This record gives sequence, structure tokens and C-alpha cells, in this order.
Amino acid sequence: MNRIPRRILLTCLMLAACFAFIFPFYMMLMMGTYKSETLFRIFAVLPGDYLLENLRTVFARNFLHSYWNSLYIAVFVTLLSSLSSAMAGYAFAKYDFRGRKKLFNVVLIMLMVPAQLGMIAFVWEMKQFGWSDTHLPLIIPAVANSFGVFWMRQYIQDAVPNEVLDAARIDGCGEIRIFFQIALAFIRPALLSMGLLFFLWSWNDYMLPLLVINNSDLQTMPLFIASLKDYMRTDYGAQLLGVSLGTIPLIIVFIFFSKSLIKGLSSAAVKE
Amino acid sequence: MANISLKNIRKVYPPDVTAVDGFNLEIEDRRFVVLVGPSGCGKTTVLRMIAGLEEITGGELRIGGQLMNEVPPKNRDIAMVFQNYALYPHMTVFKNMSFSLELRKVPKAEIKRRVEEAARILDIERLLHRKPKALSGGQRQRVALGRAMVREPAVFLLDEPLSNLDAKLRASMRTELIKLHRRLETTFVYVTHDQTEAMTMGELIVVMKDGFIQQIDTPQNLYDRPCNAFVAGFIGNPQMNFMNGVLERDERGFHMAFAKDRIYFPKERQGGWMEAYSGKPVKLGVRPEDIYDDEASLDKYGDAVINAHVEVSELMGSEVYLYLEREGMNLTARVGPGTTSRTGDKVKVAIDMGKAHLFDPENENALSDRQGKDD
Repeated sequence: MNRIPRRILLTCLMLAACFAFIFPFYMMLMMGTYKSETLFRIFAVLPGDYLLENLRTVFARNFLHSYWNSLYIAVFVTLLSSLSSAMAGYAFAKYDFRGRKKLFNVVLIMLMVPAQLGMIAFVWEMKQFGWSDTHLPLIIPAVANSFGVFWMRQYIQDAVPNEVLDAARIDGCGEIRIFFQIALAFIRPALLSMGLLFFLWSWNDYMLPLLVINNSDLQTMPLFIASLKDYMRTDYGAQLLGVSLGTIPLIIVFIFFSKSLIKGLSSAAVKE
Repeated sequence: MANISLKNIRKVYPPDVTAVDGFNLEIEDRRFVVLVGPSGCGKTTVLRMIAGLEEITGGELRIGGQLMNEVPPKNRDIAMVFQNYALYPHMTVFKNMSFSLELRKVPKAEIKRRVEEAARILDIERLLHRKPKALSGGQRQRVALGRAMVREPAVFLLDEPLSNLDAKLRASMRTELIKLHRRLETTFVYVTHDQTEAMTMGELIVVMKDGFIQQIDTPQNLYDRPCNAFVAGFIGNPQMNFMNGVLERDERGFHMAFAKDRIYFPKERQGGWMEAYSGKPVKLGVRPEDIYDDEASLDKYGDAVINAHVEVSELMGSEVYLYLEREGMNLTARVGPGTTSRTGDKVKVAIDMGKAHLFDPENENALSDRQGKDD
């Protein structure tokens, strides 16, 4: 008898939570159809009539180019960071080498230090490399991702049985083949969810591009959206439309991979 | 030829943990050798050193006469079956079995022939297209064996392969493995902590403890002539009973003296070798099947009868285990199903001292002539 009221209560709570998450997103979509000045006068729950104008404003600038920049940077970061994190995590989890503990402590320290602390040094370093105003500072340093290494190490330690690796060695596999042909099969769920996070972080990253990119042709999406303003006026309507359009790849990725994301996140936390 | 020779093998894990020391073993070609011992005795470490999965700290390992210390596992002509099967979960059974052959660039037709042949022997032909998660424990173990078989290796290494199976399946797989060994005519090195597996399967058994070999012998010899109290207690189920007493001599001959009892050795067992221990404390070892509670045996072994209290009586069907207590000592007797002894009874039991074992209570080494050395 107790079950039905409990179910109703749970459903109501879930609906409230869904509303809390979806409503701001809905408002973002709606507000992108209004003129900037109108936004502050009304509560924009219903679609406005300024969508085409906002679209024109967005596309008149470097929108598609920025979109492409963000997309290819995010894809590169995702692929390279996932691979390097998985390889480093695998080494920490499965090989016994001199200095392993100390090196892993360095990874942990890197994880704890806020990235903002190193920003000035980072910009200086990129300048020394001659990478200023290129996309390289957004891609190459991301390959050494301490979070990714830590996460993959924790996951691989439990998820990849040593006996299977030993069996592969006896079967005749070299260490590289063991990683790519055997170990990767075990860590695919975690790798996929980590890749999604990397994609998300790279796509949404505002601070790093702001520091190293000056050329508008090299702008990424967050920079582009922030640039939708003049000296006298910020076009919030166009900005919100830009943000809405910028969210599309993330939504597509999440729709396709949400299950493996949840599986990867939960299995990384709980040993099966 | 795949005889295996281990000479003075030593394994030390950093910083200074000695897992195996002074390990010497010669395994002849086509023998079925079992390494047995309690957890942590170093048996798996030895197997992994033979496989090349552990570095050898000291000593020499030779397979087929060739020094193997530095040879990688893939070049040792060995195959290994693991406790948890270690199958590749993303590959089908066929692929699991053929993987090593593909890496060795064996022609496809030959791979197919070998996999199908192994699958036929192991009765897993209909499973070849399945993935491991769709198989039962027993089927997975067969696939693991099949994966080893297709390699046609010189040496099979098996690391507690039956531990994850239920009791019934384990018993049938034991027989299957014995048949497989006869069929393949290859050297098998089998690691287990289960003395029943060791006794039923091994042609030669190596009993280990704390990284050292205790005894290397045939199953029957290990049972009849254990070299020390550890081997005597480890081999046999229920395990051997041990009683601390004093070896004494009077006009009726040598006997074991306890607080209230004296039990005499039969004439044919008594000998000069006992003189050296006369008047000294010794440990008496008696197998449960050498303790009797029937009238005929009480008459027959009248010089070795003690009173005891039956704490628990366990009917096993074809036999009964009596858990007895006497002066703080606990004994287990394996008697026939016709026994009248019941839980709580006070009974007389007779010990066949002709089959009893004596051990030095300090170093636990066997003292009696049953070792075949003293007389």
C-alpha cells in the first residue's frame, strides 16, 4: 500500500529535477529568438520573432570557421588525450618499473594543483616554443592529462586481469599488441566516457584559448560567442543563439554515448 | 623431448621477500608432475618462473636441455592454463583458441584443423562461435585447455585450473585431464593446493612449504612414507592424527606412553632404530583409517587400545568419521558404516601401530622405519 504514494513522490521529485535541468536550457533556446534589448523587458518563455536576425548576426561573423576550429581541436584532444591517458594508466597499473610510485605521486600532485596557477608560465612557455597564436597550445599540452592518467590507472587496475595479459604473453603477443588488442577491449567503456569528458572540456574551454589565441581566424566557439559584442553593446540574443548552436555537437555525442558514459563512470568507481 | 630441470632456483621479491629458495627438481619428459602445498608456499611462483612470467633471481631453468632463464614466454614452447581461465572476452571461442597460432603465422587451413580437432576432443565444437561470457565455468575451462592444446606445446603448465569449478565438475574434469595427458603424451606441470587433486592426478608430487620442497615422491609413497609431520598432515583426508607422548620400553617392548595410556608397537615394527629415541618425547602420527572401534580389531590390536569420548559422529554414507577426544587430545577415526559408536558415547578404540608414524617433535622429521631408511 505504501508503494504507490512513494512512487508518486519519487516521480514528482524526478520531474522537478528534470525541470530544474531542462528549463534553463529551454530558456536559452527561446532567448536566442529575441532581440537583445527585448530580453530584459519580458520573460521569454515562448519563441520570439528575431531568430533570423540573430542567425544573420551570428553567421555574418566567423561562426562556421570557429565551429570547425573547435570541432577539430576537440577531436584531436579527445583522441590523443584518451590514448595517452590509457597508455600511461596501463603502465602505472600493470608494469612494475623503477620510480613508479614517485611518478604517480607527481600525477596526483598535478591533479590537485589548480590549472590557473600555472597560466602565466604556460603562456610564456608557449611563446618560447613559438606556438603563440596557433592551435598547438590547445592540443599538445592536453595530451598529458593527469586526471585521465589517474582515472585510467584506477580503472585498469581492477578491470584488466593480470592472467589475461600473461596468457597473451604466452600466446606470443608483444607488449604493444597486448595493449591494443587485449587490454583496450577491457577498458573500452571507461575510455569512451573519458573521451566524452575530454571532448566536453575541450569544446567548452574558454580560458586557455583566451590566453593564447589573438587571431580571430583561430577563434574557438567560446571565444566567438564572447566576441559577439561591440564597444557599446553586447548582443545577448545572438550570443544565446550561438551558445545554442554550439551545444548541438555535445547533445549529439551524449545522445549516442550516454549509456556507455554512465557505465564507464559507475564501473570506474565500483569494482565488479 | 621436454624434460624440465630446475637447479637451485631462487626467487626474491623486492625488497627482501624470499618466495622460493634452493628449489631443485628434475621433471622427465611426458610426466604428470603436481606441485602441491598451502597458499603462499611458492608453488605458483615456481610455475610462473617455468612459464617465464616471473624473473628467476638465481639458479638455472632448462627445458629440453636449453637454458631458459632469459627466454621470453612465447619462445619457451609452453602453454599455460590459468585458474580463472584468462580467456579473451571480446573474442569468440574459435578466435581464443586460434589467436596464438595466428600470431605464429600458421596457415589458416592448419589453424582450422587444429582448433576443430581440439574442440572435438574437448567436446566444445558447438561452442566455437560463442563468446566466453555465454559459456559456463566448465565450458570456459575446456576452452582454456583447448587454447593450450592447439599450440601443441612441449610443456603444459596448469595453475589451479579446477579451483573455480563446483565439486562435481571438478571430479569429472580431473578424469578428463588425466585422459588428456595420456592422449597428448606431453609433460604436464600442475599446481594445486588440493591434496585430492594432487593424489589422484600426479605421477610425481612435489610437496612445498614456505618456498622449500618438503618431499618429492609418488602419491602412494607420500601417503605411506611422509618425510615429516607437515607432509604427513597435508596428504590425506581427513588428515593424520598427531599425539605427543614419550617413546618408552618395558618387558613387552617399545610403546608410546601418554598420561594414562600405553600403546605398544607390534613385534615386527620394533627394531634397533627405536633405541635412539627411547625415553624421549616423540610425536605419534596415525591415519584415521588405522583407528578401529569394532570388536575384532579391539581383539587384534589389544596392545594399542585407548578409551575415548565421541564428540561428533559424521555419517558419510560408505563410512563414518568419529571425532574423538582423549585427555585433551583430538583424534579422528574413519570407521565402517556398521559402527555402533554414536555422538556422546564413551568408546574403546584400537590403533594399528604397525602403520603408525613417528616424528621428532622439534624438527618434525620422520623417525620411524616407515621412511625406509632407518632399518
